[in-house]
Amino acid sequence: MKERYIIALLLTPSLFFLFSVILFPLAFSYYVSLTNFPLIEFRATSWVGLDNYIDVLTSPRFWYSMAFTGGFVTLAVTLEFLLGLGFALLFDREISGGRVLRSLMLMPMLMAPLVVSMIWKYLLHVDIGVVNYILRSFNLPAPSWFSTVPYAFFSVILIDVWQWTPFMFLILSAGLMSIPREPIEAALIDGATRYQVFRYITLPLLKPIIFIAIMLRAMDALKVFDILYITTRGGPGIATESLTYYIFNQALVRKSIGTSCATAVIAVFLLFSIFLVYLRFRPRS
Amino acid sequence: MNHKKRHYTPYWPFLIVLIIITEIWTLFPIFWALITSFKTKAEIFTITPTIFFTPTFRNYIELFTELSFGRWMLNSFIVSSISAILATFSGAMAGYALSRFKFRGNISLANFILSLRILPPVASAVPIFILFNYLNLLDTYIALILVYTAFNLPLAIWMMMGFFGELLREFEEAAMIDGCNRFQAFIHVLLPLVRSGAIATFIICFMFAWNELLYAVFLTGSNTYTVTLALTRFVTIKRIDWGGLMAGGIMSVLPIYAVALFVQRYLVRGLTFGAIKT
Repeated sequence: MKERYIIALLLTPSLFFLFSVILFPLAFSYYVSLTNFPLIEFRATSWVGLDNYIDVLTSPRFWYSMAFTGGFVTLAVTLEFLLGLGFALLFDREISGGRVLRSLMLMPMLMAPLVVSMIWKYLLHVDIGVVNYILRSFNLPAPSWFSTVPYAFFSVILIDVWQWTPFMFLILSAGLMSIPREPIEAALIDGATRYQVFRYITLPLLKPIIFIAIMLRAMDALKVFDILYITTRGGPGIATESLTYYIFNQALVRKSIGTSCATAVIAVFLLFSIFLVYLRFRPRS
Repeated sequence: MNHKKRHYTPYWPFLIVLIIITEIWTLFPIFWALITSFKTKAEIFTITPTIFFTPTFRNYIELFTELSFGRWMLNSFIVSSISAILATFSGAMAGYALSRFKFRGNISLANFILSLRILPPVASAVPIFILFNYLNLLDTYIALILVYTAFNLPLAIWMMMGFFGELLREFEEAAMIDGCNRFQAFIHVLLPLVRSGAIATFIICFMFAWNELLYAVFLTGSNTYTVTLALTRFVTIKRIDWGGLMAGGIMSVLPIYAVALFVQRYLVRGLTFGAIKT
């Protein structure tokens, strides 16, 4: 009986923050999504039922942003995983100064995504960027990376990959270190090749950690915002408008709070279902 | 604990080259930002990048004399440290409750809390803006502190849950036999035992808050600009002050690199919400 009060007391501060800052605004978002809510004034709000949802779900722009987000997450996370795994395998040996070299690999991940985006905006600058300087000196085309159509998509992916490959590297390195040595050594003594050891021993043992790393990174990449805010602003046109940027643009540019909140509710459901998949298949430690 | 193989196979030189390329790929952009921050405006706006030049501290000096970068760093520091303290303490309390007491729905509650971390911040940005505007909280420290505390809490709770879960029950039982009540046992016996974990939690929460941009865009004004928001304002319509921007960017990551050294051990744990322990 008394224990119940202790539990309640211990949970109170956390629940206060979570309810007042996350859950209540989400509920408010849901309410607003059913109205034609004006931006600031609290009056003249009328009930419009599911109109906002119909607006959003019939808008090609919304579906484009879904497709962009899907493409972005798939490509970025795949590259980050492959590079991260490669780096982790590369560093999984005794190197003099290995500790320092491994720490240096983590530097991009600790920077603010905004700062990373600014640095890449400079590196990829059409006139004064060092990337285009190198391309020009090899007589290759030096495109305007953020304002032409196929390139803008790849540039924002490049930034995400540069910043978050270290995340994959860090987690997969930790995974490699936790793998028991004995089966690998036994296999090598029995004449297995390094590739066979990797394919049939290391990879299967690493699987639970790979799952966690990919799922967490994908859920995070789905929320991409800072890179777009700094580099393309969703442009050229709407070429790099992600789901989150669509929500942002609906509210701040189109001043359509109702559809913005409706999209937010859809996004929350989407991420929540991915999270349920994660929980269902998350390996237990 | 040294299980690594040292092998000088014929591939060894090739591997060294690969390691060097990997390091260059990772570090070159940071190196380039660093040297750009020591260039003059004229040197930056040349088509052919200059590699050898006389370094100048102009960009850094201007940050603090012509702009109020010191004030913005202070704003970021106030908001990030207070929110990280709140998140760590509330997280420690909730993490203790969730890891020590078996009550109905404790696992679902923990998973539900974790799910809040996964939600896109932009989904609640507009309603929070509307509500905070109504409560006159825009452009105050309180607004950002509340938001950063809440968004860091799931991580703090899950990390602290892991640290408490690893402690032997005997510690608190012994303390309670010695006459402590549960609260005294928590404060005087358990908290000191998870001290390094709590510090790691604090630092990771601090880093997330320090690096955050979206809510700074929505909720700050001229009184509360954080470093991240201030940097976006270097981009004027006509021309970007790249030197100032790179200097500001370097200044903004220095505190993070300084504290990150202490938490490297806990980074995997923090970033995977305790799913992977090292």
